[in-house]
Amino acid sequence: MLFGKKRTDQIAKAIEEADENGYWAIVRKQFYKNRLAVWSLRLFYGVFFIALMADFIANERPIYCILNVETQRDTTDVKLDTLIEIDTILLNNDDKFYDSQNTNKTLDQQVEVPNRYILKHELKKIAYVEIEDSIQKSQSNKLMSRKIIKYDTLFINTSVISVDSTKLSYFPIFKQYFVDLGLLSWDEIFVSTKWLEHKYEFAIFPPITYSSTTRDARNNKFKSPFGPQEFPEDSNGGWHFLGTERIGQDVAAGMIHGTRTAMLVGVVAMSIATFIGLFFGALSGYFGDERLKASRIRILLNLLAFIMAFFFSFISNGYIISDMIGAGNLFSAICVIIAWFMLVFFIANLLTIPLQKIPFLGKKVTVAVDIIIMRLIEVVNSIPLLILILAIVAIIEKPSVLFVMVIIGSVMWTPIAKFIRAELLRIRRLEYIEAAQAFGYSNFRIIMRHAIPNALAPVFIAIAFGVASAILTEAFLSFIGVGIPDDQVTWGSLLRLSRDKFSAWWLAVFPGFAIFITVTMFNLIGEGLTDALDPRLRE
Amino acid sequence: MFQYIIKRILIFIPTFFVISLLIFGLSKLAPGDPVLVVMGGDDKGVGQRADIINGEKAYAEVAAQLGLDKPSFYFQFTAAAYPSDLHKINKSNHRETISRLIDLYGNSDAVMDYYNTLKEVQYKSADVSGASFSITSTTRESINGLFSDYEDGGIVYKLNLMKDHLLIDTTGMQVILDDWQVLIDKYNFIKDNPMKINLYIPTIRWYGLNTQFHTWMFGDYPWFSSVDSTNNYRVAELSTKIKEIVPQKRAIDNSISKLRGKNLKIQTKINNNPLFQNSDSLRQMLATNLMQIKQYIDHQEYFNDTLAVLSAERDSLSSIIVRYASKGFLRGDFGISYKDRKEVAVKIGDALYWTLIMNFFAILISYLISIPLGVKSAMWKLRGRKLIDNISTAFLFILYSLPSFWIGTILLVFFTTAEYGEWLDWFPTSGAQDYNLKENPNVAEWVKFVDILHHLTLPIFCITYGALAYLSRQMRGSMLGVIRQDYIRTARAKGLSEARVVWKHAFRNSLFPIITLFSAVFPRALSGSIAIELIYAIPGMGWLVLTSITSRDWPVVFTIVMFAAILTMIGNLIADILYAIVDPRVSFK
Repeated sequence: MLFGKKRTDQIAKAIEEADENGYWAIVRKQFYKNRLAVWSLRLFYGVFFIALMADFIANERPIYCILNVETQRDTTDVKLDTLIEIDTILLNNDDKFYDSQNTNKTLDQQVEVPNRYILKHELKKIAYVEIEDSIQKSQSNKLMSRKIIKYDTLFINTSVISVDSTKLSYFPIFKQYFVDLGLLSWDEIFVSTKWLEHKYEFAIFPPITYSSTTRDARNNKFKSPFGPQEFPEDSNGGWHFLGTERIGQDVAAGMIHGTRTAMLVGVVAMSIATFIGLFFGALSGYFGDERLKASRIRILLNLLAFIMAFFFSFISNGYIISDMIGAGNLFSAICVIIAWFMLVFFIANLLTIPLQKIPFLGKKVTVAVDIIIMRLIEVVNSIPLLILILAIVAIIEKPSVLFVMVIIGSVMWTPIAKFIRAELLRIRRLEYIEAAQAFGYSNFRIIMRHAIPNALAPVFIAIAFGVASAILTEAFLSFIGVGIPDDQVTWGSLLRLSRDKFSAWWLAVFPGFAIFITVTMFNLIGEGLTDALDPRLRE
Repeated sequence: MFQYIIKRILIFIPTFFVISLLIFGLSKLAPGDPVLVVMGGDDKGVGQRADIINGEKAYAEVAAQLGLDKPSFYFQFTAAAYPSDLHKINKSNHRETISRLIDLYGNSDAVMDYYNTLKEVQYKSADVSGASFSITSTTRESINGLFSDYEDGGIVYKLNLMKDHLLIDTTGMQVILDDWQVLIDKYNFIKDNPMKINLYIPTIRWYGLNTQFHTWMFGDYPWFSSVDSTNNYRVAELSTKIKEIVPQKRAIDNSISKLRGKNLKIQTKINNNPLFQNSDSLRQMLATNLMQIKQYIDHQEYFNDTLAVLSAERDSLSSIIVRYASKGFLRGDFGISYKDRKEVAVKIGDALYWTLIMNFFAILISYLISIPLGVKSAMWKLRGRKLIDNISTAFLFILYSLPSFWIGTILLVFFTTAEYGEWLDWFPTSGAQDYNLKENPNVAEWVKFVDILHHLTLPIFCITYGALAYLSRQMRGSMLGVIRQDYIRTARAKGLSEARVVWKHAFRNSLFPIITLFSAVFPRALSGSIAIELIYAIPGMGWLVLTSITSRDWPVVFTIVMFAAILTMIGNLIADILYAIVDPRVSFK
């Protein structure tokens, strides 16, 4: 707006050029010199891909299948006692219909007809002849489905089931996503029969034909990947590439789905940690002990607001929140808490504006944020991380991976906070920050737009190492069987199973190797970043 | 220097209290009732009045012993709706029900009124006699259920169920039926008069010093005045005596009733069967039995008298004496474990023994190997010996990244059984020592020691290698940093030998990271061996932490976490002091 279009273009071009030789470009170049780190990064993409596509790599459901589905137009409800009654009558009367051979013949003929008509039990055979007549008469697909046969003085209600067989094609894995969301539901045959036991016309299965929780009853009790495994003739189930465990769950499938859990824990936990760490680190680093000045009334009201928000969310509505968490709705519980906090803080800061006009209340005082936050960090660091996580996990009644992620994240933020604090303590003295302050930008804007982007470099290192230790912690927790639900298959829980049976070496070797590779991968990326960001090593 | 240390220690104090508050708060958030855990079972509360009262008494006693009958903290920040003496309600599930009801309706007076009525009805229903068994038992069970029900549907259902049963047959239950009307009226009053606004009015209540946190931290035992505990000893003595006498008395009671039964049989035999009427042997038996009974009765009287005297003294004394829950954490009283009522200090002491043994060797070995290895590998890098440098770096990196619980499992699976061949069964599968050897007095001490080492070899290895790799890498990194400095060049220029340059001038300055790490050694030793001790079934600290956290044995968890925090802080202080010793440039001003 201030400059003409030409000038704006020039500036944009200059920025573009600066980007090519900018800080991050150099870091990138430096990082790519470290071959191990680059390979780790590539491996990370691969592992991430596996985690994303876990459902398409190991699943008991086919990716695509064609199935002969028999749709039933009418269902019958013939009671057994009626049947018996009829039977006895027939025996007594010695009717011409009661010729089993004869009816059997008709039945055989009937089968060849594309649209079959099946009748239940003995009774159906009797009713058959009459119905066959009706077929011949009508010669159409749509036929009456119910017939009343009058026999002697007795009325017999016979229901005729007409069965259509149609070839239907499905994309079960995709459909499962919609089912999980509650948008669709499975047909009855898919619920009553296991996926691997269907007779498919045509099916494309994932490379591993088992989900992490599929139990292969024929191959339970620790089947070795190289030993004999039992499969029936027409089985859809593939070879257990990495063997099975006690209840017949496929180890390879468990590992593939464990990848997802591990990546999820790493990413979510570190996102939480980064958020908390950036918040506290930026606060203490940018303001230090002397820069945060606020009017007395603002400090007072904000403190009060904190107490009141705590009161409203944890005491007045404590049971509501705890019931929500108990039911597994951690996310909505957090939303409710945040809503309360925002509401109360909003009101408090709104009240500040008129009250600040009073000279005594409006007087500015400094708040030593740095000291407070450093003490907080010291408290968190004083308790061994694992013991702290274990103690917090222990108070949760219903274990879930979500809680584990949140807990790991809310405990591991201290290194990030420390890094960002150290960087900001340096950056805040630089001239461009002073310039921004001179412009009269708000502190929030300066921190978010000018200070933090330049302080992020060391945070990336902390995040890379943090992801490694978050994954390791999750694996450790599931290894000792704390905090992860029993039916969830993770690398750690698979490794734990190996202690039950020493001869099952595949349980000891593969899951542990996966943990090792992932942790090493992130450590190598972290190392690479450290080297790339180190100005001393830059030529 | 001295001032600095004092200052640091002064900073510890608030940190220490914040940590204790954190852990205390966690234990308060944990579900479950510790008193019931200690009592070992769930408390039914169904039966005669005496049973109910005795059950409550026993519960209150255990709660008092654990210090759980007090308000939890010095002050309470809560809603105005909650009554200030909620902690006086005996049982935790009752407290929970009351506060849930208050949370639903906000009317604490009405809720307390309803609760007290419920309690009365419970006693009355326990007193009922002469009514049909099924009716009384259903009534009692529904009343008992009402104590832990706060949802409207559940309460109404139980009340209706009670009424339906009461109406079947009112013999002996008329009182309860009248009370039922009162109860439902009170419950409807709660529902009709909700005061939810009270839930949104904050209040602060001050409880003074006699609180759970204070008792745990400082104890309720007097600090400076000594306590006359002769009464306590006397009560304990009396209790043991009574405990000795009671079985003897029971045995005599039993023998008397047995002999009487025998006599009765003999008497009926004599009376009914004319064949035995003049049987001398039977009469003689009768006479001897009678004499025996007489003798026993004398004994019984003696025991009864003594018991009466002893229990009278005990009851009178125990009504006087003041019971103290704890001496407090600061005076080394860590309380008793919820799980087995053992003293926490004893449990931790037992566990610490193994952890210390393991970590002593682990730390020793890792430092002994890692420091020279780190320096050596730095030298390889400096002298351009690429191959060996790359190999050692890669090896150390892999060692550092290997999760110890994986290696522990692998070693356990392959080297402790004959599963993969006889020749691989090198180490024992689990435990810290062979119990046959430990109990055997004929075995020499050194054999036992060797046995322990044999058991602990794999665990120690698993703890060691990670620390070793980490330390070596740190050592190498800091050595490389130092060796590029100018003063090293000066030293070389002076013509000093390479060994002298490295070990005399560079080494001392590269010790910094090692010192920082040393501060974390103790707390890490505490928590680091959780998985290893679990894998190899060694009853050390990690194992204790894990089992007590999973069984919510908070006194043990409290103590361990507090010690870990204290050790971390002390470790930091020691590291700071060591800094000053190693590097004179560091000053504490």
